[in-house]
Amino acid sequence: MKPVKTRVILISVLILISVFSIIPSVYQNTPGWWKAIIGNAEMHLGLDLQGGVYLVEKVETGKAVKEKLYKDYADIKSFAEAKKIGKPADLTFKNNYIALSGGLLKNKSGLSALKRYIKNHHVSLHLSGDTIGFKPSALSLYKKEAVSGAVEVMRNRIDQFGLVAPKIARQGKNLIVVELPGVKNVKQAIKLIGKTARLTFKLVDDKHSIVKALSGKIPKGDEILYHIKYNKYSHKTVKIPYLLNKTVLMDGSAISSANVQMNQYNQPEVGVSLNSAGTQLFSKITTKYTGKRLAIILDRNVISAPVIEEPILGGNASISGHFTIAQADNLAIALRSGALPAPVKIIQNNTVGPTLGADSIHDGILAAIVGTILVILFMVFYYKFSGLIADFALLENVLFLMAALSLFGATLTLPGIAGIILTIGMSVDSNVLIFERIREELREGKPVVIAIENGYNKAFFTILDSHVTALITAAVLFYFGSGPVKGFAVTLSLGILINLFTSLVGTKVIFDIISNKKELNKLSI
Amino acid sequence: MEFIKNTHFNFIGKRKYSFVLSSILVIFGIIEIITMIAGTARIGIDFTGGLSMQLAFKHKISISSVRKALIPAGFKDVKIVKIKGKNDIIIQTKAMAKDLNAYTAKIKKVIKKSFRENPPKVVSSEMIGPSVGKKLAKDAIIAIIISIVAIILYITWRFEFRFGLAAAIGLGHDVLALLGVIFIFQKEITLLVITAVLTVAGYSLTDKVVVFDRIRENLKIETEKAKHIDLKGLVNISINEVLTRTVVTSLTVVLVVLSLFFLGGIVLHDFAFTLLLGVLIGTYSSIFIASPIMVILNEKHYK
Repeated sequence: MKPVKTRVILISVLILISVFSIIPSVYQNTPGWWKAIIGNAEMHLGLDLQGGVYLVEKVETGKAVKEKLYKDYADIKSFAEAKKIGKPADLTFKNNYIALSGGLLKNKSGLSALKRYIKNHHVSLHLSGDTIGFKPSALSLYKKEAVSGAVEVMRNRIDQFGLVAPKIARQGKNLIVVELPGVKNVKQAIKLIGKTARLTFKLVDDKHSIVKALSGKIPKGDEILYHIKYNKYSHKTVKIPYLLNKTVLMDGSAISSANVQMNQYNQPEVGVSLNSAGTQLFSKITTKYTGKRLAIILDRNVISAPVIEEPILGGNASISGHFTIAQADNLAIALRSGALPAPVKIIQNNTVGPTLGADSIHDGILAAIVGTILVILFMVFYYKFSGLIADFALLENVLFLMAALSLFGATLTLPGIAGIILTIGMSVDSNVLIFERIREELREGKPVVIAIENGYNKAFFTILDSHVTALITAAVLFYFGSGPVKGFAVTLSLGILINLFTSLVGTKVIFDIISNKKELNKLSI
Repeated sequence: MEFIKNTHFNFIGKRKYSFVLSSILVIFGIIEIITMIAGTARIGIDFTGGLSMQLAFKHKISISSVRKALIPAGFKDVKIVKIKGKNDIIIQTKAMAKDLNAYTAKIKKVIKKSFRENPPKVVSSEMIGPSVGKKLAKDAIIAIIISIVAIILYITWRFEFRFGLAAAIGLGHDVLALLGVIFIFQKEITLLVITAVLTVAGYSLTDKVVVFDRIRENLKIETEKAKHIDLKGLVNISINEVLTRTVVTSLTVVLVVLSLFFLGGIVLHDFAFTLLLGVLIGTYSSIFIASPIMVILNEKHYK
C-alpha cells in the first residue's frame, strides 16, 4: 500500500483554490467578499481582446514655449530691476520674443551684465540686437521635451490609477495616443488624465485636527487633499488625508530642474533646483515656516509633505520620503514636467472595441479548444488508459496556470493566450517521457507496479533537468526582457513549474490509488 | 500503440548532410539579424510605428471585412480598431513618414473599391510612434546570449562540459536557423514572432536534454551495450532508444500548433508558422546537430 491520502488532499485543495481564484476573472458578478479574499486579484484583458478608451491628445507646444518665455521674462526683468539696468518699460514681452528698448540699449555695461545673466541662467535664450529670443536649436529641443514631458506625466498618472496594460505612444510631432483597455467610460478616462499637471506647494495645517476636518468641519481657508498610494501587489489604493492651507505658496514655475540623487543613508531622494525668483520665494517661505510641514502637490494629489528643518536659501532643496528609485524617478519627472507648462488638449476621444475584432478572438479560442481536444485524443489513442491519466494532468495544468495568472493579476492578450495554448501542447510531454520509460521497463519483463515505480524514478531527473534548463531561459528573459517579453516569461515560468508538479505528482497518485485498490497484472499503456 | 519500434538508424553518420543544411539556415539567420540591426529587416508596426488613419463609413462596418480587403492589397501587418457608437475605424499600418500621403491614398482606394455601397471618408491620417521600443528586440537577443551561457553552466554541472556546450550550440543553432527560415519566407518580425522564437528557445532545450540524458545514462552503464562500440555508436543507440519520445513529444506540440495555424486566424498565422518550424527545427537539431556536435567535441577532447 502506498499512502496517497496527503497527495489526494493536496491536489483537491489546489483544485478548489484554483477554481475559487479563477471565478472572479471569468464571472463578472462575483460578490465583493469573494474578490476580497483573493486580494481582488483578477486576470485582465488587453485592449486587443476587450477594447477600451482610445484618446489622442495634442500637446500645445506653442503655448508651452510662450509660457516658458514669459516665465524667463519675469525672471530677467526682476534681475534687471534689482541691478537697476534700464527702466521697467525698457523690457517688454512680445508673443515670441522679449523686446529691449529705450535707455537700456544705450547702457553698455548693463547690457553686458544682462547678457551674462542670460548666458548663465537662461541657456535656451540669447540676446542679440534689441531682442531676447529662443536659440533655434533650444526651441526645437524645448518643444520636443515638452511632448516627452507630457508623455511622462500621462504615464505617471495612468500608473497611479492602477490601470492595466495601458499604452502610451507619441504620434507625429506633438500628439500622444493613449489606449486604456477596460475603461468603458471616456469621461472617466479624461478625468483621470486630461488635466494639465500643476505643481503647487501648500502649508499643512497642524493646528486643527484632521479627524474633525474629515467629519465635515473643515476650518476656514483649509482643504483636505489626499496622498494616493497604489500598491502593485494587492491592487489597492490607499488614501492618506492631509489638512492643508488653501493658499498656494509657490508653484511649479519656481522649479528649474529636478533629479534623483542619493542622500547620506543611500536612500533615493529628489533634488530640486529653483530659478532665481523661486530661490527668493522659497527662502522667504522656509524662513517664515521653519518647523512646519510643506506639502508638495501635483494636481490634487499630495506627493509628500516634508518638515521644513531649516531655512533654505541657496535655491536647492531635496524631497525625501521612503522612495524607491522608481518612485523618486517618477517624482523627478513629474516635478520637471510639472515645471513644463505644456497644456494638453484632447483632440479625439473614442471608446473602441477590441483591436483584434471578434473574429480573431473567436478563431483563437476555437484553435485552443480544437488543439486541446486533439492532444487529449492523441494521448488516449497512443497510451490508452494511461493517456487518460495524462489528460487529467493536462486539465489540471491548464486550471492551475489560469489560477496563477489570475492571482498574479496578469493581463491576457492574444500572445498570452497563444502561450497558454502552447503550454497545453507541452504539458503532456513529461508524461510521455514517463510512459515511455514504463514501457521500457515492461518490455524488460518487470512487474507492472515496479515498472511504474521505475518509470517515474528514472524519468524524474530527465524531466527535472529539461524543466530547469527551460526555466533558466525563462528567468533570463524575465530579468533582461522588457514589457511584453517579461509578461511572457512569467507565463512560461509558471507553466514550467506547474507542469513539473502535475506531471509528476498529479498522475502518479492516480496510478498509486489504482494499484492500492487491486493487484495490477496488466497496464493499459 | 507504438509508432516506432527498435530502430537502428545511423543518425550520426548523416551529419555531413545535416551540417550543410544547418549551415545554410544559420547563415540566413545571421543575415536576418544583421538586417534587423541595420533596420532593413521587415519589422512589425509595434517596433517601427507607422501610419494611423481614421475612416468614417456611412454604414456599419466589420473589422474582418476591412482586414480581408486590405490583405490582398499588400497590407499584411495592419491593426484595425473599431470606434464604438460610430461607423468609424482606425487603421494602423507600417509606413515611412515620406510615404504618408501615398499610403493614405492607396488605402483609401482599396477600401473605396471594396466598399462601394459604404464609402468611407478619411477623418485623419497621421504618423504614429512605435508602441514597443526597439530595445525589446535587442533585450531579447541579449537574453538569449546570457541564457546560453547559463545553460552551459547548468548542464556542465549536471552532465559534463561537452554536453553543455553541445546543448548551447544546439540552442544557438535553433534560434538562428529559425530566423533563417523567417528570412527565407520573408516573414515580418512582430512582437508575436519574437514571442514564438523565445518559446522555441525554451522548448528546443527540453528536447536536447532528453536525448543527452539517455546518452549520459548509457555512458554510465558501460555494459554490454557500450563495450564493443565507440561513442558514435553509443550516441546512435541512445538516439534510437529515445526516438519515440522525441517524436511523440514534438507531435503533441505540433498538433496544437497546427490547429493554431489552420484555425487561429490571420493574426496568429505567422506566430503559428514560426512555432511550427521552430518545433521541427528543435527536434531535428536534437538528433542531427546537438548530438553529433557532442561526439565531435568528445573526439577533440580525447585525441
